[in-house]
Amino acid sequence: MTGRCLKSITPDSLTGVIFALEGMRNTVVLLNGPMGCRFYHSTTSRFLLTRPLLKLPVGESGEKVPVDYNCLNSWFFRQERVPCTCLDGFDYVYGTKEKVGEALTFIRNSVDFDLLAVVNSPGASLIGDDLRETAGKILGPGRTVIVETAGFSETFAFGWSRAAMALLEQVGTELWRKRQPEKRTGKRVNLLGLSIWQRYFEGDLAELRRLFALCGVQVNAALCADCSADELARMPEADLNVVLDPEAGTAAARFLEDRCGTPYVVCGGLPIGFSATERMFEEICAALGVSCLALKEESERARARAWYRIDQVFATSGKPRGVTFCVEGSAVQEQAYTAFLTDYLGMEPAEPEQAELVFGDANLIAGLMLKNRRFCGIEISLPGMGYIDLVPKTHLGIRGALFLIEQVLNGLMSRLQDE
Amino acid sequence: MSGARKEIAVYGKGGIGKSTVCANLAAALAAAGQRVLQIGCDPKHDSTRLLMGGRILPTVLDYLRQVPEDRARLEDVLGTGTLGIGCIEAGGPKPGVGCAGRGIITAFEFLERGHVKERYDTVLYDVLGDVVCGGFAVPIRREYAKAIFLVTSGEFMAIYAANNILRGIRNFDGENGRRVAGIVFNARGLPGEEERVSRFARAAGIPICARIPKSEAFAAAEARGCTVMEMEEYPSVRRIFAELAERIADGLPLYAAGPMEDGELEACVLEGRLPDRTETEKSVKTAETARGPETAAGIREEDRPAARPPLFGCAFTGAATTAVHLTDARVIAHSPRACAFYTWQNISSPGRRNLFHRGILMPSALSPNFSCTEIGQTEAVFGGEEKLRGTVEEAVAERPGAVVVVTSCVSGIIGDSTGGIEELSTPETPVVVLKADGDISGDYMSGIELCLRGLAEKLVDRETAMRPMSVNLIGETGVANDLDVNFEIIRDLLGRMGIGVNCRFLGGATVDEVRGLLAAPLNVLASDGEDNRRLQTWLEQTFGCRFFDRPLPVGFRETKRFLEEIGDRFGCREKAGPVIRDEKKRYEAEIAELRPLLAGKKILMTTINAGMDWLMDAAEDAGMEFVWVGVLNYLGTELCVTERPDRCPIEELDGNTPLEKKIAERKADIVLSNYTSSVTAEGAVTDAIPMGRQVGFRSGIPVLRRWARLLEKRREGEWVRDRALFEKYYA
Repeated sequence: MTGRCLKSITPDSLTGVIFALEGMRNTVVLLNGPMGCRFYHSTTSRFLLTRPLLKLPVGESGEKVPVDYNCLNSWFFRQERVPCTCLDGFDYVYGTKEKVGEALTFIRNSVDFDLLAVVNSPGASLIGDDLRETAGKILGPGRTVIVETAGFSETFAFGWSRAAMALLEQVGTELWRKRQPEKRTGKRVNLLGLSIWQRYFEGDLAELRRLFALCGVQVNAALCADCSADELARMPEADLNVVLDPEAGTAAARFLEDRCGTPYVVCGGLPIGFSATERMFEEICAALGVSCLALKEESERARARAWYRIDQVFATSGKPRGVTFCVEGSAVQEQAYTAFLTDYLGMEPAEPEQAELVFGDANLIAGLMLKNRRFCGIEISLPGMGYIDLVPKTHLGIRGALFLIEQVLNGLMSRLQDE
Repeated sequence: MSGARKEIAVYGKGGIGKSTVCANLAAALAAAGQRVLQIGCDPKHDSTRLLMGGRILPTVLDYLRQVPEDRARLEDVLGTGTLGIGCIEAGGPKPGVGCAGRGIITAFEFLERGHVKERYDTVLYDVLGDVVCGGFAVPIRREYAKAIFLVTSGEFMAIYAANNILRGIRNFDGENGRRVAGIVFNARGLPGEEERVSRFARAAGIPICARIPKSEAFAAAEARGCTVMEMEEYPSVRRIFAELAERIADGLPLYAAGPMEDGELEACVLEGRLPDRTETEKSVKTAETARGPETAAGIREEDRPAARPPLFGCAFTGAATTAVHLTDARVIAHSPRACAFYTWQNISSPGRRNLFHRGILMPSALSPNFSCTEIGQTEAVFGGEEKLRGTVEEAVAERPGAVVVVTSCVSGIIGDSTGGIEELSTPETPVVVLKADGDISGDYMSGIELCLRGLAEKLVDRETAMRPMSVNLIGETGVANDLDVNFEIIRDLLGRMGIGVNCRFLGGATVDEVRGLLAAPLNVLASDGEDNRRLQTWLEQTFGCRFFDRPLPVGFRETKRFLEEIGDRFGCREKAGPVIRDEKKRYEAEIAELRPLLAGKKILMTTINAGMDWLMDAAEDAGMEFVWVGVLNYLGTELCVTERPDRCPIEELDGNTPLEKKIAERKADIVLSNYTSSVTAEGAVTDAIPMGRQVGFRSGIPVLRRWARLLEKRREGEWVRDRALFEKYYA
């Protein structure tokens, strides 16, 4: 028997590349590949960010209407995100240049965009077509990013890094050359390594912006994380680059240091929980020469609020001390969540099959439910189960710590009723 | 050619002596004070051997195969040869496996990241020129070679290869690009060869930059493991390379690539009929004019493959998504993780939705028996057979009912052989390979067909014992939400007539159930699509299967007819009567409840070209009227929305159909479409047609109930008007 115990298959570098580029505002990401490689990215990207409706010309009048289920456009075909060239077996033999050219010409003539990215699917990247030449002829320089090899089975972060580097090298340097620096007030940072493909991306970015603002620091640009071309253009004006995920963001930080002379810090981990948040901002504020006292004071108040509720649960159940948990996510997530749950809440790591609280994606949580296990699942990464978030939520920073504690306590309470 | 760093590609037919020429040229350039880098771009990786004193360097690709990318260092593959010449070998797979072109691309990406070229004044690319794929053309992309030498002897095939290289350059540069430096004539000492090369050069409009005589100098240098340039002897040969190096340093004139047509080439080289340059240009230009203008992408019209309809999804996903319904098998994707990831999401998404929205646990969707070989960069270059074999051996050792391998486009393009994989079968665990090759074998539906045929061919037992009162359900496909719901409905209806389900091929079956497929005397299609009909024909022809005339029924009338006729087939029609009576009573009670709310209401519908009688019948039973139907006929097939086309006006939709006008003219109360946001209908209720159809008597009832609620609760909510705000704030 299979035992149905195979692990979830997680996204690889192709998805990392696509969602990094989809994280650039007003950008069209053209996938040079089969339609089969497109569906997931098109469908998912719509839900990751709130964006303007894409409108395309239809019929003889050329009137522009929103792309929807009835839109039979060859490249966008019913979905507004991540159009594709619809490659088939012949294209792998005869080359993809023609299809790429046709798609780029249509997009150039029909869509208002700031940046256009062309990404080869794994199959297309085997055949070595010169997409840069094709795109250059049609779009000219300065607003086109080409990723000819998105990688084969490498990590999501690898893909994010490759896309970010392509963006900086192919577009960023062009924009920086033309730009006159703005008049500066206060300290600014760029954030590197944040991805829109996070469970609570909008809330994560909002919380980081809020905490930096508490320290008197402005977030200048969050590369590939709801970042505009204008923000990309002003990246060299930051005082510091903050690398939130070393695997994803370090290469970009080094590049910016080499080209723009901007120093960078690689965070010791994600700011999950009060201590990690305080440590991260202490380090960044020290590097910038600003105070983080306001942030620490807010953190203390939040700790006080959390204590009151945790103590109530502890008084009646002795929990969360000793409660078993497991975390499955990226390396930085696993390290950060585990540290918070063990050090702050006094919980105990365990294997997924034994854990009372399971932190992971919905596939992991649902897979464990199949085994009739009694546990509480808390989503920390995508795919989610289907909950629609209107109020941005986060697990990062101070508000994130409170939300996470809220989920843990409610998860424990739901289990208490069974005992 | 002048300016800063010089990048020169040396192309020629395999075995023509390019590496020898290249190495001696590198040595001559270095002797003249240049900092030179030579990059060998041939899988046999001996381009730099003479520069390295006879030592063979480790190749970039072998190195990247062993060292993770984040720890890979340029210095580990960059050798320093004679006169300080930088030496790199790209390497490549063994003949017959993997993808050598991909190897060149991978190696160049690594070298670019290491900024290796920045250390040198001159870069020489030594490239195998008789391989025509895009990977081997990378060195002649504009960001690499600024000048190109063609090495040829006087043999026709060597000149033919040189002409082909000119064609490749022409494709990159068009008419006006000038990057061809000329020919390096490497003589073999054959009679008449110099004349042949000279005629070719004149006809192609490029010079012979160097004439290298057949000389024992090269054999002597080879024996010593060095270049001729390092030897004391053979000054005349050394002088040739020194002069060429000097010309390069001075700035060579560059020429446009003017390849000849094959006939012209033969006439010119073999028959000595030399077309004058004007005629050649004219013939090239005439041929080009005849071939039509370039498009924006630089492609000519006749080079375009015949227009082919786009493929919806890929065969890999279709096959894998179907194979996971073989409940005790292990399904292995031979693919990069990306392909397996989308397939996993395709399978698991309805599982998550059903769990979250309805609390239903769907094991095959939530924990599919599916894994992946994770083809990486190494396998893409060197071939993935070994990895696949290892993964299958591990899976077989776990003794699942079967192991099913599905191949992706990457494994198809690199030409992985899967021939020996099925030989890993054991008596307990057959191994079945489905060569979907991504979308190379077709779209999503082709993959389903490939999977079903492949599994039937490999697993079905022709000697199985019969189960007289049973049917097989054929062609339940995909991972639709309603797959199991529909199965339970039909199993209940048939069960009440004493008819069992032998095998769900392949909505959820064990390997043994598929083995016993022929035990059922009758087969029923799950739905009446073209793909299922093709599968039916194949099962009839291959296994002599008998099929019921009707697919699983949707809607009251179809279900009644289905039960009566299947009762006839099994000699138990009398058992259909009580079932139909019970269901009719229930159906009529539900319709009676809905009629006061729905009677007299008008429906306007846009739909894909699929049977809608189940819904139209139920609506009419509730006293409603369809006033107009627009059909999105993507495939251009005969319209099949209803068996009674006279019941309302039906038109094919195109992008110009004014839907809003139709809605207003027909005074519709309900506007139906496949996707609600597609139609805005002032004053009318909009609703989506369910993606899946519930089989059985009550198919339309849940939809009618929803309409009743929507019509009763007409307050649309202020949010609807906030679209304007969305446009304002998110424009």
